[in-house]
This record gives sequence, C-alpha cells and structure tokens, in this order.
Amino acid sequence: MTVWLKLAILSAWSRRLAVGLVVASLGLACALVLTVQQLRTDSRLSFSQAVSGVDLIVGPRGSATEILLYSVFQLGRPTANMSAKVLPALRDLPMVSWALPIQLGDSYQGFPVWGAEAEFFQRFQVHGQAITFKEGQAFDPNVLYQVVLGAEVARRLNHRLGDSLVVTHGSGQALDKSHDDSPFILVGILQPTGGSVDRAVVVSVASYEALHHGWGVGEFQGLRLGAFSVAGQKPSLDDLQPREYTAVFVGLNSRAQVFAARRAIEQLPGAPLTAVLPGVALDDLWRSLSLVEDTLLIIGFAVAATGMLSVVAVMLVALGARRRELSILRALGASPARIFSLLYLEAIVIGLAGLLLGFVIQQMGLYLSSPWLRESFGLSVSLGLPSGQTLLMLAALFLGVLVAAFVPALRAYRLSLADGLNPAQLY
Amino acid sequence: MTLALDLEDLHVGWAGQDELFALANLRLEKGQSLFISGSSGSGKTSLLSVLSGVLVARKGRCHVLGYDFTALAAPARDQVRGESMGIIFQQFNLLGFMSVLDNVLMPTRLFARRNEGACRLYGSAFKQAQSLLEQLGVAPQFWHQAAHQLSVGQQQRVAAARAFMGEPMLVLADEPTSALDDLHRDRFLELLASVGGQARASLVVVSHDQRLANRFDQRLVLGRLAGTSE
Repeated sequence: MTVWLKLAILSAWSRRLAVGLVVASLGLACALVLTVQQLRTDSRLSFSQAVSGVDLIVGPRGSATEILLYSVFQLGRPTANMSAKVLPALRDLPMVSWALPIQLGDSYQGFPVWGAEAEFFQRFQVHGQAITFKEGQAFDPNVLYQVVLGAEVARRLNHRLGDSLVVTHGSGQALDKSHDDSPFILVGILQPTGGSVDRAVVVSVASYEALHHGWGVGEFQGLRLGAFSVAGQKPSLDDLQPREYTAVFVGLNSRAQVFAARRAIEQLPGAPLTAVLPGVALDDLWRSLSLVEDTLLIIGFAVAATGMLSVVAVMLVALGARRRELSILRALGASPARIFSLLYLEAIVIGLAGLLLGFVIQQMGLYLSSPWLRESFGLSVSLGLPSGQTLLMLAALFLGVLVAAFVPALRAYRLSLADGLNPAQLY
Repeated sequence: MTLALDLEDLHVGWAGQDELFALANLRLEKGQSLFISGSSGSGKTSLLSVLSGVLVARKGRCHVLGYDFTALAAPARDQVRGESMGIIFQQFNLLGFMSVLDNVLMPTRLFARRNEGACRLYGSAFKQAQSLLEQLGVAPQFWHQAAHQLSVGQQQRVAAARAFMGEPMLVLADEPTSALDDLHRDRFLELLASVGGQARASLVVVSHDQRLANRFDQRLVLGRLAGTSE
C-alpha cells in the first residue's frame, strides 16, 4: 500500500503547480461556505441573546420589530416617544417586578447616547450576563453630567476615567475646547459584552433631558448657551424630570405572566402602547432575514461546487498527459481497478487538502475580522474546531469530493483498459 | 513448464475492430529468445499485448508461461504479468518523477513473489538492483536522480534493469532500440542478451530492424497473411 501512496504523492508533487491551484480554489470555496455558515449561526446567537433578563419591551403603539430594533440595537429612529407617565403606571402593575426607561435619539461621535436610570446597570443583561464595570462605577442620579461609556466607545475614542466629554444634542461634533463650561465627566467604563451596550454612551435621564434642552456646553440653534443656564437660570433636578421615554424595559415577577402582563399594558389608559416579547420578536425578525441567509448559503454551495468541478477538470486534463504513466503501471502488473483506486485516492487527498485549507482560511479570516465585527455589529464570532452545523457542512463538502473524485478515476480506469500498453495519444 | 510460449491458431484483434492477424503456431522454449518483425501495422505490438495478458486473443490457443491466457480473468493475468514478466517499451519507460532506483525497485515492491526472487538470488532487492544497474552500465551517481534527468539511452538501460528485477520468466521488449543511435543500439542488445542469459529468462523482442535478427534463437515475421515461426 505504501508503494502506491508514495507513487501518488510523487506524481502529484511533479504536477504541484496545477494541483496547488486546484487546492487553492477548493480551499477558497470551502472557506466561503464555512464562513457564511459560521456567520449565520453566530449572528443568530448574538441576535437572540442581545437582550436577556428582560421580559417585555414597552413602546408607543407600533411595530414590534421597530421597537425591538431601536430599543435593543439602536437601529432606526423611533417615530414617536411615550409619555413619562407610563413609567409609574407600569410599575404599579401587579406582575411587574421592575421597569426601566431608556431614552434614545442622540449620538456622540457616532455612538448612540442612552438616557437611563442608575438601576439599569444592575438589571440589563447581555448574552445572559450582567453588565460589569471595568473601571469606575455607575453615575450618581443626583449629579448631572456624568457619563458611563461602553467598552468599544472607550477603546475607540481612547477615553480614561475622569476625561471630559463634550456631549451635545444632535450630531455630536466636537466643540471649541476653549469654552470653559463644564462638559460631561467620565465616571465609568464597562467591560465588553459583545452586545450593543458596548457602543453606548450612557447618561442619567436628567442629564439626557439637560442635553435635550440645550443645557450643558454647546451650540443650540445658533445660540451659544452657558452651562447650567437658560435665560440665566440654573435648572434644578425637578426641571429636568423627563417628559418622554423612547421605551421601557420590564421585568416580571414570573415569566409565566408575560401574556397577562402584555394584555394589561396594552390596555392601560392614556396613549396606546405595544409590549414586545423580545424572544418572539427576535425570532420573527430573524425569520424575515432567512431569505438573505439562505441565499448566501446557496451561493456558498454553488461556489463550493465550482471548486469541486475544478478538481475534476484539472484531473481530467492531466490524465491526458499521464496516459504513459498509467500504461507503465499496467506493464508493471497494475490492474485497471488498481489504477482507479490510485486516481481516486489522489483526488480524495487533493479534496481533503482543499477542505483543510478552507477551514484554516476561514478561521484566520474570522480571527482577523472579529474585532471589526464586534465593534461595528456587536457580533461576536466563535473560533475553534467545527461543531454542529459547520461540521455537517464540512461533511457535505467531503461527500462532494468523494463523488467528484469518481469522474477522473473512472476515466483513468477506462483509458487504461483501452490503451493497454500503448496509449493512443501521447500528449 | 518447458515452453515459455505455446500459441496455436491464434486470432488477434482489438475490440470493435477487424482482425489484425492470425498466427498458425508459435513455440518458445524456456530461456530462448524470439525476434518478431513485420511491417508497421502488422500487429507486432498487439501480439506483445496478447503475450503480456493485456489483450485476449479472439480465438485459438494461448499458453504463456504455462498459463492459459484465454481462460484466465483479467486480474489474474495482471498478476502473472506483475510477478513473472518484465516489459520494455521503445521509450518513456520510466516514471520520470521517481528516482532511478525507485523505478528499478518497483516490481519487487509491488509483488511479493518478485521480491522473494530477488532475495533468493541476491540477498535483497536493493542488491539485485545495484548489480543490474552496474551490469547495464548505469553509474551509481545517477541512481538517486529523477529518472527524467537521464539521457534516452540511459533510461532504456534503467528500464532493462527494472524488467529483470526479481526472477522474471519472460521479458518482452517493444522496439527497445528504435530510439537509440546505432552505437548504443548494439551495446544495448548485447547487454539485454547477456543479462537475459544470466537470468535464464525467455526474451521476446519486437522490432522493424531486421539487422538485429541474427542474435536470436527464433525469428517470426508478421505479415498480412498468417506467419509462422522458423
């Protein structure tokens, strides 16, 4: 057996350029299939765990998907806000354990600003894990202009505890630093979570209101306003009670009450509300994306099939040049069946090399791009040995190789039978 | 088995094609040499295909090395060829990407019987390979080179060494000297004869070059009509 193996290896090595190209093309195809598969799985996982520990998300009457997108992922803009009176009404409901508001709409250097209560840091979870602080602590709700940054923001903008941030209403352009009005002070930096909170600039609801009213440093509609003053007066915290919220996250006493709670919320007097079950809404959203997903996968497989075909094509062409090689083997006593298995083995080895290369390329690619993916999409990708669906994909690809390998091997079999000791053509 | 070849009323043709030729009879004793000639297209190469078991005769008696080749299945004939025969082509005999030594050792590595034969005679296959290469004038410095790096003449001699590895009972050569110049041709045939004699193998050489005929015990001319051996 080892003689044949040595023969196969040496023969392939003598054609290493062509063989190498085939392996490379198969490798790229395989990498594509695996990457698409991995991204599908990881993004589904990231997506479905983007909000945990929250039983309901309450927003103004509207599409559940929209509410989900802007409250959890800060994608899109809320078309309307809810009255702040909703919050005590929610907290009064018997099934409700806690309710935390969130205010969205502003951004700082491209990162969304969240207005939230201090309790937010204790309640909000990402991927089943609580938010923890890398440095510092949550803001004091009684003090204005304190800010907590998510891990990505702090990293990207190179902020440290105690830094001054100029957070403005609207687009958040950096301002003239000579202004001596006091800006926001960074009091806490969060550990990375892999969720959208990594990109958050979190302030207290009072600070958010202050921002909204143009208090704090900044240009507001062309008027330069001094800190703490509108018409020359310092606002009190009472003045800064929020009037509107974008959404409210709700935790219940018991999960089983979720449908009753939703009914109760949607029947509250006042402006109509929608209560979203995060899990259900995420699944719905994911399903609507499945067309894209499936298309990607189909494309991936088409590319893989192309890779297989290239293996077959190159081997078939190479066969022409190897007819003499085959007839020498015949002369030495090799049967056509033996020649079949030789070629088949060769094709399988080439195929496996291609798949392995593809796996390596995919892992490297994911490794290199994972910081960018995490930063831009909050997507955390998992590396390592394939499992589950990915393993299934690799198995499917390998099966494809096994089938594709038949073609050149069979042709070699037929040729060696027909040619005997003297091939009809010597290329 | 005293007869290396025992053919009678043999009709030969390739599948789907007209009959190439018919042979009245051909008998070759063990250890003897046979020269087959004929004009091109007369079927010399096809006869070699029959003798080597690659092609089955359409009709007639075909006993090679004591085996009835018309009765044996293809794998069995392949086995006989691998264990008991050596074949030399006109050119491109060797696997170019393998070393000279690896080429020569192929028969003993592929077939245990052949390896036994080599060990019996020389102690090891490697020793026999050495001896044959030396006899055939291929210097040791070439033994580990890739076969394609050698000249045509050298490659023919390596092919001959390979053919005689183990203890083949029959060596078939198809125009072995046609790619060589006159000087090398004579030398090669001498070597073939001497090594063949030592190995006590029966030798069958096919060639269009009648000048070679004298060296052989028997001569056969294939033509469009049935040929007989002298």
